[in-house]
Amino acid sequence: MQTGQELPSIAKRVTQGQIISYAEASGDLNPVHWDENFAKTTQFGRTIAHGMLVLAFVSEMMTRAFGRSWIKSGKLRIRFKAPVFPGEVVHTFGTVRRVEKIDGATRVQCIVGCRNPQNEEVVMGDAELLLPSSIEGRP
Amino acid sequence: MNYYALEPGFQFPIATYTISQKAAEDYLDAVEDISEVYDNNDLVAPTALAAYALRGLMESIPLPPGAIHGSQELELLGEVMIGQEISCTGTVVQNSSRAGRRFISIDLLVRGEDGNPRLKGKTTLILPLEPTTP
Repeated sequence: MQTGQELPSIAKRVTQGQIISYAEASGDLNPVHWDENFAKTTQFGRTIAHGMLVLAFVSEMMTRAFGRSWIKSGKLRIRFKAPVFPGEVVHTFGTVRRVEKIDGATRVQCIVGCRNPQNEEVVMGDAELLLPSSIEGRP
Repeated sequence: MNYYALEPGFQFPIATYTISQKAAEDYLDAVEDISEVYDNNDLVAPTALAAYALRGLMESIPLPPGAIHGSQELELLGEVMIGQEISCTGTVVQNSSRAGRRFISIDLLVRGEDGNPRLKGKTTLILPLEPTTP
């Protein structure tokens, strides 16, 4: 694991069906996510994906890169910068910003986020975790 | 009680959930997470814990339609397995308005069935204009 290293990106096609599934699984039934008539009255003009759904994509990227170390020690700070609309394919991104040894473990800090088809950041923030000294993490 | 009136320090009632296999799988299906880390074990996705924490808030005090997520912080502190009970609560840390919208920040805490924290977080919600009484 080295500074500047890019984490493997994940592409997700967000569909209205997925948004509804997420609403049911999470219990977040805010109509801005599923009610087209209501969504037309909002600033977005149409339904949007849950922010936490897009955040889950970023967390998946970290899980795939770092395994259970992410689940046991991860920290994530995210701003939701722009909506994700059904039908869009978004791509996660992550770049290792800092790697340092701390008390026998390795702390990895990353810039993370997600971009829409227009290459705009829809989610942006940073993440960090602790890797046991015996594990460097998969690139 | 509604979100517009919540004062800093307000603590949401504790919400407890037992995460069933179906619920855990439905969550992974919904976010389309096929990470190998969930294969052949009963591990619950950490963002599912955050979703339960937020569910607890919304079940206690429903969000007004049109409320959106402004930001989210998560600190993952330990694993939760399928079938285990979690306890979720939130504490309002800020409630302010600017530019015609209301911003509410809430600290989240999820404990495992041993009482130890499994997830901490902070969520900032952006609410539409407050409803005015006619």
